[in-house]
Amino acid sequence: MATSQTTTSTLKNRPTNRKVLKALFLICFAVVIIFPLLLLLGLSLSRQWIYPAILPQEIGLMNWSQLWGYQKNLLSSMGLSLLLSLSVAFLATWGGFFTGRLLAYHPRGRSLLKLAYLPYVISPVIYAACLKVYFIYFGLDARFAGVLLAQLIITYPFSVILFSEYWSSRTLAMEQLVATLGGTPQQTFTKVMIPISRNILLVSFFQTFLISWFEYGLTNLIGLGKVPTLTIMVFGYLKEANIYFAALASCLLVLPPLVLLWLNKRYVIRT
Amino acid sequence: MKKKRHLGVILFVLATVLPLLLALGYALLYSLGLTGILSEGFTLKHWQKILPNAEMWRSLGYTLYLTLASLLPATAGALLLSTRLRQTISRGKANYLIYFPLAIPAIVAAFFSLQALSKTGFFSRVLYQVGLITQLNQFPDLVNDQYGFGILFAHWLMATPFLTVMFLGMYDGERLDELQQVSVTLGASRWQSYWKVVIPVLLRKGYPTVVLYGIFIFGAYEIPLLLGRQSPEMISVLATRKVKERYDLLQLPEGYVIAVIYSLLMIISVLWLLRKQRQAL
Repeated sequence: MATSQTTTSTLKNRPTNRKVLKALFLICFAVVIIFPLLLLLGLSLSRQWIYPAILPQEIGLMNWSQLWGYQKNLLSSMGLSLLLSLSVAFLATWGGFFTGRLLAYHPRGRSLLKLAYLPYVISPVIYAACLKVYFIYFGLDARFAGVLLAQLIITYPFSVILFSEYWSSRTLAMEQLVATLGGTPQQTFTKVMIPISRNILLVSFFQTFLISWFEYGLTNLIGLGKVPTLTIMVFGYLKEANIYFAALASCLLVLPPLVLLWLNKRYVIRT
Repeated sequence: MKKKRHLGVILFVLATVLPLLLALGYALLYSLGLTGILSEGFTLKHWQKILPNAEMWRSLGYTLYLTLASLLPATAGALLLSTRLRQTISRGKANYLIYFPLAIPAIVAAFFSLQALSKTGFFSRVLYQVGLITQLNQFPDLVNDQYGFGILFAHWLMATPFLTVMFLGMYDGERLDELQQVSVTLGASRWQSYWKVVIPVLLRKGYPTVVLYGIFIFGAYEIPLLLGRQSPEMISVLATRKVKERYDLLQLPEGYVIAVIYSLLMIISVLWLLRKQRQAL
């Protein structure tokens, strides 16, 4: 009798224990994920963090307010990074969209597609070190246009790979249907293919934007540090041992991807 | 129409293959003394100097160790999270949380790891406050250390969420819940269905991405630059340091020799790994 009572209570307790364990896991999970962002935010809000204090001594918006003062180069760097990444994402996405279609309907498309994987075999920084001489020769080093071109060399093949799976017999049938119904090739694209490809276009745009936004080694070598994107600024502050502004620049670096991921998750994946 | 298509293919080949050929061609010519500031005509002396050089082989071995030690635990962790804890992390707010680390670039992951793991970092302060250490130097060397723990930590931080998100997508895409039900109906135990159905399907489907992620870690630059030691260095850091050298110009051709060796090794490894996967399929 006693044994059966114990068994019943154990069975009753099991779901509760599971719930507690799940809640504990969720808390640990949230802490592990949010902690890096909190630490960076905390450092960006302080000017002094003397050992062994866990929290910084001076906390306030003094570093952030300098964005409009003597550290306004950080804001201009953010603007430059945004312009660069948006341009790279725009060009790589449209390039990949049309090339992906071309390869999907090409008799040797599958074999040709393998070429798009080649640039990923080599580290971007070593790739840049070997390509740098051509950028110098054409006067593209230390210039925005040079960094844009260099980043396109790695983002365009990525976009082609992404779109290669999208174009299929279904999309071809749709194109043929529009043509049968009297649509011109231009109308087929502007009125049908682009609207129905909205999701994959956005995914490619977000992904290539992120590759460009996160890029450091290649940008530094081709731009010679004179195209100061946010990643270059973070490294610059770290070299100066200015961890508070490095944290501030890191926050600026993490913010747009977080917004993009949220938009991607909320609107692109759902639709 | 056909002309347009050919032009498109030519442009694609030019955009993908030409830069790679130009890059490798230049590195090879430089390493053979056929171009560059110190060019004196064809010579194999830079190759003869680098090939028996322990520094490069140690660097390659160290890079391989860090790649495997980053990738394998991250893949195992991601498999565990995406299968055993799938319900918990793919519902409610946690569903958003798993995407958060994907917004962290390598340079920020390295900076965070430095601030968390260094002797004056966050964890050292916590241990001091709870009384586990009484002096700064009692805290172990976790960054710029012999075993590359700081580098591994930063890579785990980036790779685990990325692979988890990938496996979660595959879990639904491959209808693994239904497949598992079928295997149980056919007489498999829950444990057997997990180890013989779920895990192999996810690993097979995710193999190319895991290999590509391994290549990314093998060529990592920012993380080992901030968290690594001067010797041994990861291969990207070693090659780039030599190529960027401004004072000792003799290091330049050596840097290009390393770049050529690294590129060839990567091309051969990727072809081998992908062929192995095709054979397995």
